Amino acid sequence: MAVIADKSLGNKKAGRKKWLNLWPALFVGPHLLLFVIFFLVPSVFGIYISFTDWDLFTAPAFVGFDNYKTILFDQDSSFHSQFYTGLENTFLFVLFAVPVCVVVPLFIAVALSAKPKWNRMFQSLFYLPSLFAISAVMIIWQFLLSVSYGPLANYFNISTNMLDNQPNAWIALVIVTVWWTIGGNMVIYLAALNGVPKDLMEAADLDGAGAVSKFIKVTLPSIKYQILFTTVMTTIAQFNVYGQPLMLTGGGPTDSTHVLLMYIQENAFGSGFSIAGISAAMAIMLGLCIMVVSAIQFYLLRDKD
Amino acid sequence: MKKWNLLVVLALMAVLVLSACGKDSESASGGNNKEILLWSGTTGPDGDLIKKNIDEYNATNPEFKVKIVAMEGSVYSNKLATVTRSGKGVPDIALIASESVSTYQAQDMLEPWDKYIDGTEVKAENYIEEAWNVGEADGERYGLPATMGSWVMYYNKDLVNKYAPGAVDDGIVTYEEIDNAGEAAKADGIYAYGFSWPMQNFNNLYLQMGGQFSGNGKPTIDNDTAAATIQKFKDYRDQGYMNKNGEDVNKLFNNGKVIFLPEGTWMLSQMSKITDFEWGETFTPQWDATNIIQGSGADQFAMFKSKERSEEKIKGIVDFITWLQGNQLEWIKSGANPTALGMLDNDEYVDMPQSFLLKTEEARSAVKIITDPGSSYIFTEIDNSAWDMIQGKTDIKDGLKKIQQTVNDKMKQ
Repeated sequence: MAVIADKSLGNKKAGRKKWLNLWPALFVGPHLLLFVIFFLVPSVFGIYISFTDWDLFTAPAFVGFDNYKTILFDQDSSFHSQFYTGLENTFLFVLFAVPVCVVVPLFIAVALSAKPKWNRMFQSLFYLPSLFAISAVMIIWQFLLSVSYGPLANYFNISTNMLDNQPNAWIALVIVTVWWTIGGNMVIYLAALNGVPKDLMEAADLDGAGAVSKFIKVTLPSIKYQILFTTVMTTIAQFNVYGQPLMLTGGGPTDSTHVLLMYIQENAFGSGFSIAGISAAMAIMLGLCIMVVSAIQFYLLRDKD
Repeated sequence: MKKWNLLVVLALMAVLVLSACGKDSESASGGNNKEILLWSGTTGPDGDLIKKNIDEYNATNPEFKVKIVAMEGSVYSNKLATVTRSGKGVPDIALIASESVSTYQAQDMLEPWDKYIDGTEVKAENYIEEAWNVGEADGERYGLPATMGSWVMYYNKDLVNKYAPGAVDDGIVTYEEIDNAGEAAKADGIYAYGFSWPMQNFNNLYLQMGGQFSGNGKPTIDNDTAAATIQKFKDYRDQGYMNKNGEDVNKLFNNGKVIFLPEGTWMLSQMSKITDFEWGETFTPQWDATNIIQGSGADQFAMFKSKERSEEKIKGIVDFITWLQGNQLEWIKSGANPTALGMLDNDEYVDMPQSFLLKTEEARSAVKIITDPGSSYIFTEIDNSAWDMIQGKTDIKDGLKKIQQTVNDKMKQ
């Protein structure tokens, strides 16, 4: 009797479990659907297009690895120089921007976590630029840096176009990017800093550690996973830089800020016939570079224990 | 109870997904058989003027009314590509740039107009010759002229009287006259020449110097004439007669700091807001006053291939275009010029600043529209590289060689 009762109870439990398992799928489902439609399918299609000659209007013509050979090895082709120029400029931008986009928000978060006066107001002010669209940000900075009527040119008597020479063009792009993206990383670091165990800090105080020592030996190790996450995500984001050089420097001076995504867009959607195959090949190569760099970062910043 | 909750959630999700798959009725054709769907890449105040013109046509109660859908440039060309590939939602007519006619025709995207306009008033005799000619490709007609936008020159009358007296008396300003005004103007902190859009400034002077955009059917830009053209602007910049890169030359002109500003007829609405000084509009500066060349573009009505377009509707489209020949006043208030000869005697048009471009036979024959193969690639590369060459950051010959290489590679694809 007891066995039969146990068995029926087991069946009821199994039935309930069957219904419960669908709920997580329902919550994940919409995002999964959007991921498949707007990321997975276009990515696979993009890989296919990179092996074709396609003008967007007529049917793609399969050309094998020709596009990759052209951009990687054909030194007589302008697409080859576009690819390497664009990739070099993109790497330079990542090299300049990522450390600043990690360190500046971190220091701001450390300052705000000390809860100074009006810290909530400062928190909002630092986060505000992240809410602006890229085009609004660029218009603001175009006005600020304008040699005709910008306040910087007028108050500091600057008659040369800062965006028209190096290294000022790079400096301007990095400053604009940091100003725009401070908020995202700052919020993550604030949350992380709030989670640093207070007893560790007290123990460090008792051992006579100064502020810098505590920051390096207690705070940083406690928030290293958040730093790893933001470093990887910031690197990926800066590899996809497009709007800043497009609207601020136009890729100049002398193509020195002409990043790879700009060449990809010009070839695929610029004037005349679309050269979507070459663009797709460049985009795939850029994606592979991002994957390799992210993997290296994960390896270097991994928990060695 | 949980089963019912699950069913409700599933039903809600289905509604959301299905509603997102709904047909975009505004930009799709075929949904309304008595409506001509016209796509345009002109937005903003100029787009509003076009719509106003179309509303006037619809008020005449035609059999087929026209509905215009305007969208921003890059969205426009991408959407045309998408609908043409799918064959669904193709507009009945679309406004395209003159240099795009041969590009789209080469991709077999367009329907020819010939049999539909045969015996109607839509014929060569009723249009500006150059605007009519650019609508033809491979012996067939794929574009019908709409309006013409031109590169002209605005000038500050007070500054002309002071630094270049008499330069505009004959309606033609030469580069020599600008050179003569340069030094005196520079001493007072005034620029003799305003360099705004590199491609347009380059194209006009290049053509005036005898340059060609193609040779033997292939695009050409790496030549001595192109080098001389860039050199001229480099000289202006080095001498201080021209604005520097990064300066807002339109603002400088508005503030009375530029004598001569080559710009487009589409800037008319901006110029009309100037109240601090008297300004005028004339031909783009000329290299040779006896051989006027005036760079222009003539937008064309084109039919992209579609199975949903009936013969009756095409007849309605031709009726609309015929009506426009004498009724384009609202549209051309944007600063554009009409392409139909029937508008040239309109009293209100004659008083518009841009009407001088078509007033005389000499002016009409000066119109030059560039449709050479690969020219759009050349224009893009000139825009990207002109300032580097003008400022001496890139050697002019090296820069032109690089542009030629890029254009050749793009044409090969």
